[in-house]
Amino acid sequence: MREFEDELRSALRREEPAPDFAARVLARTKSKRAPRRTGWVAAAIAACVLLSVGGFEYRQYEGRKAKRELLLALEIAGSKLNIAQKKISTLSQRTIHE
Amino acid sequence: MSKLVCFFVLISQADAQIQFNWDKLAAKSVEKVDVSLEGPVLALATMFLSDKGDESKIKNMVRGLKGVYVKSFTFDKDGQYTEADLAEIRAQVKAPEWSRIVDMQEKHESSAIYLKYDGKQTQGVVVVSAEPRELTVVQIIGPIDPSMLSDLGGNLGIPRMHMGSKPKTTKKDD
Repeated sequence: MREFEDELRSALRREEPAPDFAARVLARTKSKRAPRRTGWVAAAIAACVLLSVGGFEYRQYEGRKAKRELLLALEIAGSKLNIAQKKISTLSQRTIHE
Repeated sequence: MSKLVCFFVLISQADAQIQFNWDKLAAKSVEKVDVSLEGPVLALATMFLSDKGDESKIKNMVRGLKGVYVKSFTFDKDGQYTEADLAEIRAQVKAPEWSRIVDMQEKHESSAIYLKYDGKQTQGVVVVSAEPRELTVVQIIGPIDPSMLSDLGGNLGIPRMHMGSKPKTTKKDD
């Protein structure tokens, strides 16, 4: 029993850290890993922002293009209907006069 | 069952885009307009129309449309399309789904207007306009008021198109 207590006391004996221990810990905390992780996060956020802005701009472009095409299509359709109506009107007037 | 299948075939044909070898005409044309808007792109175009002024009227008119298709070709000489071409196009717009309300045949020109009517409202318009050096096919599918459509040729802020002249579109070479 006595022998066990001695071993335990020996194991739990207070030991001073090495003189350069604090310096090594500080050096670890300043290692490149932490900034690198921050860099990736920043890059990912920037990519997300760029993609969002790009996507928004692309949708705006597509929307404006589709709108232009729709207006052009309606313009042509309207014009053709107008022309047909005018021709009918001209023909009917000609028929009345004849 | 077969009647049901026929019904759905008829419905799907009525709403289908007119099929034709447009590339053949495009190859001979000097200018062309090719607009095909349907589904999400048409909805997007509608979304981009303003809620104010003339555009709001257009927005109300086109809301609910299923498809807007325009094929217009301008040629630098006569005879670039044939009567058979016209017949092939017109054959796809036929009764009972479509009613021909205008069919004008002149010496060198023809115009035909077809409407699709469901008993309550016009559900589609097709215009086939053929001139010696220009062929235009307009197909609009969905609920539409043709009288409002004809107003668009200038009265709603869209410049009226001068017929018989070159369409204001990109040149083929562009």
